[in-house]
Amino acid sequence: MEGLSSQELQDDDFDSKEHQACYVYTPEDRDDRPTKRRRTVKGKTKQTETESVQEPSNKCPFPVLLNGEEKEETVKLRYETYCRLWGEQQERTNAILQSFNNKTLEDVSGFVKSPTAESCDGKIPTALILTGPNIASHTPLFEQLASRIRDEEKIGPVVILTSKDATNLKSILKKLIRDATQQDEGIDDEEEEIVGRKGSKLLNYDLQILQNWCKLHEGQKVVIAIQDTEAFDGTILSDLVSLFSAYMDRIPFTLLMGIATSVEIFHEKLPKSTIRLMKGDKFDVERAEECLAQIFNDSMIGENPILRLGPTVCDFLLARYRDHNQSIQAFVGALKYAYMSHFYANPLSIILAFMDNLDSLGEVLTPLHIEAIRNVPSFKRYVEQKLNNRDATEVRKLLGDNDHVRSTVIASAAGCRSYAVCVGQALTVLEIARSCQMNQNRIPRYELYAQVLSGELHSGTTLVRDLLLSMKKMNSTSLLNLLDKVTEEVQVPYLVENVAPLRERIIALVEAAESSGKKTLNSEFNVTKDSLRATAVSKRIQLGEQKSALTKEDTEYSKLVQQVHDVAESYFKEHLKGLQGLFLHELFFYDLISPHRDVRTHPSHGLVFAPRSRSTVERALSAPQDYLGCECCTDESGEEVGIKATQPPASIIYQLYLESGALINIFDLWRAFYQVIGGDEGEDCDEATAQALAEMRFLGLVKHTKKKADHLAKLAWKGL
Amino acid sequence: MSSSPLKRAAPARTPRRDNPNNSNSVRFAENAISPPPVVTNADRSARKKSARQIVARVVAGDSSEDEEDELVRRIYADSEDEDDEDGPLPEAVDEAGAKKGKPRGRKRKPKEPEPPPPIEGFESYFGQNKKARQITSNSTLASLPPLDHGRYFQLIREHVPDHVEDRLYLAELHKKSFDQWQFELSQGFNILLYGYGSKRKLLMEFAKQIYTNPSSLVVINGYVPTLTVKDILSSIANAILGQGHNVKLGSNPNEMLDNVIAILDSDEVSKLTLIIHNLDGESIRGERSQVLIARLCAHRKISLVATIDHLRAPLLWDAARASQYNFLWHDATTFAPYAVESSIDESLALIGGSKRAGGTKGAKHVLSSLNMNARSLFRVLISHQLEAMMDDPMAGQGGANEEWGIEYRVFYQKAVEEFLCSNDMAFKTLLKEFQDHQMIVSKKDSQGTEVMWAPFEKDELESILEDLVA
Repeated sequence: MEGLSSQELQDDDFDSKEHQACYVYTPEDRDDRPTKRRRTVKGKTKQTETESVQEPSNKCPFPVLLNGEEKEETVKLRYETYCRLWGEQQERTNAILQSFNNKTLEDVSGFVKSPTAESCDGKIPTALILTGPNIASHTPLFEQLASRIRDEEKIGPVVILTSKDATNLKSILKKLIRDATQQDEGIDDEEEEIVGRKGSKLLNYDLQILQNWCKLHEGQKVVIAIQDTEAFDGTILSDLVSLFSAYMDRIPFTLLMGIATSVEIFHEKLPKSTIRLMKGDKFDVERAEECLAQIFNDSMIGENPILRLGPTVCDFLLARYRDHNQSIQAFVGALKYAYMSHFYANPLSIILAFMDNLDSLGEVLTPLHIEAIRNVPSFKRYVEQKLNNRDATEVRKLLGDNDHVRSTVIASAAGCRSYAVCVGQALTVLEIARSCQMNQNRIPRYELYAQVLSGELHSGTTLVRDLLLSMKKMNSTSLLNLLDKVTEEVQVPYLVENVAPLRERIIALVEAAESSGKKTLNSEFNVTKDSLRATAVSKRIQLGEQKSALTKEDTEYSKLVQQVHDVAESYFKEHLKGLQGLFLHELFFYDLISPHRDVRTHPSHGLVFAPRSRSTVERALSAPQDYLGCECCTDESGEEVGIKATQPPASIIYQLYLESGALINIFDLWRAFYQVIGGDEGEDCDEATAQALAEMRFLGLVKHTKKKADHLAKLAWKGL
Repeated sequence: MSSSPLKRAAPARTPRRDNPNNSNSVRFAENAISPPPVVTNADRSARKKSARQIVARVVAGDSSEDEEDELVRRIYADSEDEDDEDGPLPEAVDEAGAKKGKPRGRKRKPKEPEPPPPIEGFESYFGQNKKARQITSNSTLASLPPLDHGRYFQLIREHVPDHVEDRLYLAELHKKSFDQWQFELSQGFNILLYGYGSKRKLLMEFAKQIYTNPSSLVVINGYVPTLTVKDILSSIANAILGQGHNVKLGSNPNEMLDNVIAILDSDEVSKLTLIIHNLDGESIRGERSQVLIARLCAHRKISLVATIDHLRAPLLWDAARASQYNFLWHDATTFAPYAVESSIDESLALIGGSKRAGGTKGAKHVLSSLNMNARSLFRVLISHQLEAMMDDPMAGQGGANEEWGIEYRVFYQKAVEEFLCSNDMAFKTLLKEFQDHQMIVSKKDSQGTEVMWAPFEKDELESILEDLVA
């Protein structure tokens, strides 16, 4: 075996194509192709295999799990469930994105349509589009704008200019004229005519061409969209604007300026004289945060989704959004990946397919599935909980009776789902309640979601306690306002049932009070605060005064407030709790933690979306045994081996490299290497060093330096 | 004791300072080695250190201004005006001066062994960029037998690879994720493989697996130095339309990309997978190339599987590009040698003596293809250079070769004397060939006269001369 494999590595089956820059791939004829063909022709023993080769499109891309014993139909079911659930989610997400987009598009195209040159007193109508910092979304946004203005509204040609086109005024005008005049070339080819009209041939950066074109197309507006204003050269931009302004009487220009930062910075960039030439409006592209909040609320907190994200993944995604890319597309992509990996790798995810008719779930679950369920961590916790309750028969049944497990699963699947819905509602209630407060620091729902799931946020947390306290202090107007909002927006039976009668009684009280000339009722819990008295006694006296100032209605009202408070408290207590105690929460809240040793704190998402490629390479080189897992390079203790002769040459060289200073003498490095591998194979390590050094250069670790003969300069320091 | 407040401020930071004798000569940069204490007022402590050091320098009468001093003075000057703690400083100078009495030299070496410098993290950067640690020995590779292509290949072939089984195991491990990668590709993500080791073979295996029909897969070798984006685009067009298509793609890459995307947009075109070995390859590393490739890969009918190796490769892409690429990253550490990706010439260039024209071998090759006159010209030059080297005992240590060069006029005279050329024009024409191959380099020296020399080591020159004369 060893001989064979080493030969395989040795024999570097010379591929003539490996130095060809690019080519269309065809599998090498000598191995696979003919054998497969032969099989299709006469191979009957391997019928199934050939079929799968022939129609790969119909093949389910999911692997067979449960040690390869998963049934074909459940594999298929998993795939279908993935397609269905993600499809639904994607549809909703796209709808949200679309609606956000549409508003901007409508506004801007409306602007382009409306003003004529006269209404701007000869100035260039300009739309400042505040696009926000996520530059990834700018290009699609401007393309959508262009296609809308050009193709749907038929206002006229749209030219998108980016800073890359703007090396000088001439080239930018060339591009502008070419793009503007050729956009409807397919319809009528008058280009020749335009150029030749005046008899003499016009230079291709002469705006006269555009002017002629405009004469032919009466009523068309020329829209110039500048995508990244900040990156534009200031002088070119102001030249361009003054040029447009000069032609304004002949060519109906409209400007769209994309601004990623702020209008102030835009103002600073251009001279005042240029800015005076423009007139227009500012369009805020719908705040990205709002968009994220909507998508998040829809995919995590709303009632629709069946699969949600667990706290760790959720935190990771939000942190990535906040701190790194600010990109909603990336967020959606990561969400999709969560769906993908959940259904790809978890055989139990088929349970999610039966959320609408849980009864048929029992038939699909094979004994293997049941066994898998018994291995889920939350099952263990569930059983332990039962044991603590001294419910031994139940435990015995769970461990031995498959049918019992089936029915339990059905019950807890429903439980999980309602838990998720309730958490979502509770968060909504929380948000509404907080919005009714004077409180300034508003934490959006999506920030709180992960905290609730991980159990950090519950009814005892300051955030909730503060809320409840301030609720007690509310006067009747604001309390009624709050209650109205809650009952309007959230349909929670518990709240509706308990709050509605209280609300009516408060209304009745207020009406009674109004008849006696009092507008609002104050809560007795609100009286203490505004005391300026210094001593405890005087405070108490004042308190007593205030209390006695309360009317009978006020006291009555205070009692009701207390009741509302109690209802809310018990509601939050009931629904704001972590998912730890929940049986089967793994299936409904995707929270896969990476098996990778170093990144235990990160979910696998972290590796896939925010990898640490540099430290991976550094680790492979400095501790090859971590990857190779070989015995020769590991110490008996298993840790911290340092440099060893058996390690791959590149790794030895790298570790020597780490120890050296910023300049490295190649000869000394060679000597050191020679000493490490020891022995008399000195000749042999020549090429190993050469190769290792070339690799180091290839990886960007060293470069050649002229500071000293035969020296290398160090370029990378480990662990940065 | 006016200097005591200074000392008390940071008694524990560098233990050595407790010794009153060398407290003044502690060097600034050593503080970078000691583990970083939690400094609440870093600015102030830096200032104090600076002050202390200036004192030490004044006392020692050391007038040499190196960078350290400069930095120290800057730090001190920066905070001087805003701080009123400066009071005791002049006294400190006096005091210290009075105590020591006479100037003394800088301490050579600390008595106790230096703590091992850190080899990781930012501290290592500062530690290793210190002047003291940049001193390296003067040995060169001249004493090693030269390694040329033939020998290199011979040795490589003889070389017994290590960890064969473990590497195979790693590769097998990665192969298990092929199905997953395929699924991810089908869902519209692109895949990027990173990690140490050549991933070429692995990726070709993957290509074999996802291959369905001809013209569904285009392989691009990013490490090939001659690759251009145009090549990529035209081979994609070839893949879609067949080899002999006569669709005009245009001449500039942007235009080509637009056309290729237009072709992709048409309905009958099926999905295409690109495999790019070394997306960070030097030939397509530039921003222009990356912009185009990213735009191409953002198309829904294009799937991309790429690899990167350079440590800083992720910096190639800004947010816009990264979102176009839509990568899923996978660690594919294989430990396979970069046999194909990093060229042999580079390995040899790093280790094997001369760095130009492929060493003496290359020079000899060039010479053999030239006419008699040109060869004689080169002979004249190197024999002159060798003579100069013989006279100089320092020769053969590497370093500046121009010391042994020949003046342009003298060289021309010699050439005319030997009837190698008759006028300046002809002489320049002869030289041109050598200069193109970097076998002769020239430089204006301090007086403005042009000096020419052959950039080879002494023994290399000898061997070339032997060849020429023979």
